[in-house]
Amino acid sequence: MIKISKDSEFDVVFRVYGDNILECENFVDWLLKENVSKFKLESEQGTIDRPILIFKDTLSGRAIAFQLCPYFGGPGTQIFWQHNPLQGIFDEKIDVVVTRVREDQTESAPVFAVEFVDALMAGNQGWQRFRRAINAATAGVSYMYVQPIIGWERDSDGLSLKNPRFLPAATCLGQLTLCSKFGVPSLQIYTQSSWTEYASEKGYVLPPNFGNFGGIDNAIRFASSLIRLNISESPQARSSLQTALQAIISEMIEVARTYTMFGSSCLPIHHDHPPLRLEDSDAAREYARAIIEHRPVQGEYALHEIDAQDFLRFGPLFYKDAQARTCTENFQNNVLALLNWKSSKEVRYKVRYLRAWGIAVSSTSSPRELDRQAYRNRRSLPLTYKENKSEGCLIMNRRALRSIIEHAYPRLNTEILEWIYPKEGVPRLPPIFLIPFYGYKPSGDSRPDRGLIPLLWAMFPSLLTREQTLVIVYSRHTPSNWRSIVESGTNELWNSITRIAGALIVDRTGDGMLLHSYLPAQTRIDNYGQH
Amino acid sequence: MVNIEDLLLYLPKQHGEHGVDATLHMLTRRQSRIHEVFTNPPGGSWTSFDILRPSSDEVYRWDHMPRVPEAKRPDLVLQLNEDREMSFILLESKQTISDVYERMGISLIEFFTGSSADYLGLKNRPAWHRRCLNDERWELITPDDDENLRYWFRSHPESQVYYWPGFTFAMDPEHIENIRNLDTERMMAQQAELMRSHPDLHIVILIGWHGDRHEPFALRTYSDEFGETNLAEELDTMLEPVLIE
Repeated sequence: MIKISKDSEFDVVFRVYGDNILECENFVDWLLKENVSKFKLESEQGTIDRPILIFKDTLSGRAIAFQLCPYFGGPGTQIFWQHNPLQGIFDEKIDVVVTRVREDQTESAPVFAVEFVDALMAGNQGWQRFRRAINAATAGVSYMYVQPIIGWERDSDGLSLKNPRFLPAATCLGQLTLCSKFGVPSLQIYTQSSWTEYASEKGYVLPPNFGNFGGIDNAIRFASSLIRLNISESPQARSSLQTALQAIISEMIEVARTYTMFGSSCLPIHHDHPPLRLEDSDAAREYARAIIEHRPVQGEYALHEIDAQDFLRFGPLFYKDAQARTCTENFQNNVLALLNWKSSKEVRYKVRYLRAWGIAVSSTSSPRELDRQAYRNRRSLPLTYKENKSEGCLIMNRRALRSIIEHAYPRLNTEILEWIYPKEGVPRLPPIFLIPFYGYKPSGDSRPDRGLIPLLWAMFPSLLTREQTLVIVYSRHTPSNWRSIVESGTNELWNSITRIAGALIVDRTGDGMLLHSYLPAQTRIDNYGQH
Repeated sequence: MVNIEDLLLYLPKQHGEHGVDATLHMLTRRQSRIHEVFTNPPGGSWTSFDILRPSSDEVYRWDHMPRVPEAKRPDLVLQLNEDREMSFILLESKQTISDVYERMGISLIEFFTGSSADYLGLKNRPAWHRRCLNDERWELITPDDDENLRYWFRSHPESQVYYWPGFTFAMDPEHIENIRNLDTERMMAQQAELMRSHPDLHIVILIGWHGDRHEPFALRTYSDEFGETNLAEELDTMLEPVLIE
């Protein structure tokens, strides 16, 4: 057994809660990198499975104890420990949360939280964990999402290489926007791996300056500064924090700039936004300054102020890919076919689509003429933020949307139709942000989808308000008792909808509910949908 | 000021499989003879297996090794090389002794050797990365590299590879106030019986916690065959800080 001196007392103690022992170690490895963290391991006490690591801060000479609590345990967000650092903040268990132990044995709110990802997430997996970023930002908790710069898919037997997995631009933009809106660090940390070198040799797209990315070292500097500032305010620690923040945000902006205009994932609204458009912009400095001053980013760099005008200027026409076997014919033909624009579609499709949005066109028009009509009238059509396949659209013409929904769902409550567009007519209603939401696989609810609406909210917080957000859950596997699941407040998929949306329609049952005054059963402190 | 005694009395309400995995993992870090190839405590899904190539100073990595229905991915894999021979301990960890199941040992080995045409097994797949033991940087092994490099494990003579499957679990109830009151004899008999009824298992390790600080302890039983190996001796050395006889 480890020998313990009974007289040991510490000025400062932090607790490192982890999803398991390996996540705790990931953080401890940061501290152990002495030349960067400026912490030196002096001794290890406590039990083997739950050690207390005593570090010396080489800058101040102070002894600091880190007690590892190497697993949360328990179902949902319940945990095995007396203190629950997730409570009231996180919907899901996060890899690492660090708190400070006070002299009276109570604990502070989280000093910061970290999510470590070994394998880069592709497709909808990319946004699976996004709620954690929002939870942290809305509670004012610094958050780091650590992931590789690039990954690679293999075949199922692991014998051959398939495609590279690139960093998703949307999650990076979502986190940058959280920084912008809340003045709270929501950071992505990019790690190098042997895949990076290979991708570079093969000519795959990487951020131009990736070889000089500070990556983990930046994260270590940032976390170490937070720890020091938590102990005592000092100009040096604050200056180090700002320098680390600026370096990290600069790398995030470079990643966002690279992958907002790349292959099929072109995000023109963001790509043309000043922080990304101007390669020599001082956006990283402005973001770091705003965070240090704990205020929103102001002026032209404020990503959280992207609004309908930006969609009107740069937004492409909406197209969402939904396979026929995943949804009903009604949804395909009477909803999606009237939201989706694709130049390759036949004349009849295009004429029906344009007429649904109030654009008078002749059925004898040529396909090229119909394309011209669509682009000329794009302000009246569903617009999105992404070329090709997208996930949500902004609709200015609420009256036309009401007609489409009324026709597709004749049994829908009048109050939802009135919410979309009142019969009496109201001048200058804000546009609706419509999200066709899959939600259910044949085997049950889809975990990645829990992160989609939070991600869209983080990207466009000024548009995804209660007054403007409409969700249509379209999976043919949606349970028919969805209403009672929603009302129970215990299902995180539905909670992700009810926290943000103003109205909900369920395709399978043809009905829906208004959520604009809806309060989830589990009351929370962040309730980010209200921001 | 915060007193160490107060910190030591900050305890989880339960340890369970998490506690078992954390104890064994931390024990591997305190020594250097046995190499930890893989550990997968609950609350995550790690997929990288780092294997020491015999007669070299290189570690090879098989990443992207997910769970498969055809075999059981171990929760902890330990390795000891002796000249050209490689010995692996493959442990399944669970909450209680009653979580043991039929063919556990066979299924753990099949994760390495393959079970059918549908599942090749780790050893028949290529390694994707390697590094020298004294270098932290991993180097990619590309599809264009020499087959002898990518598939060295597959080519390694089967007679020089040993698999020792085992089962580790938390005591039930998992905490005892005074370790002197532990009914060691009864527990050892229980382990021996488990081994007799599951002859494909060579190692059984119980982890429990005692005292007001919940310090972990271990009780182990080995098959006669495994008990005669150097690896068994090394495993005892690794477990020594928590082992009770």
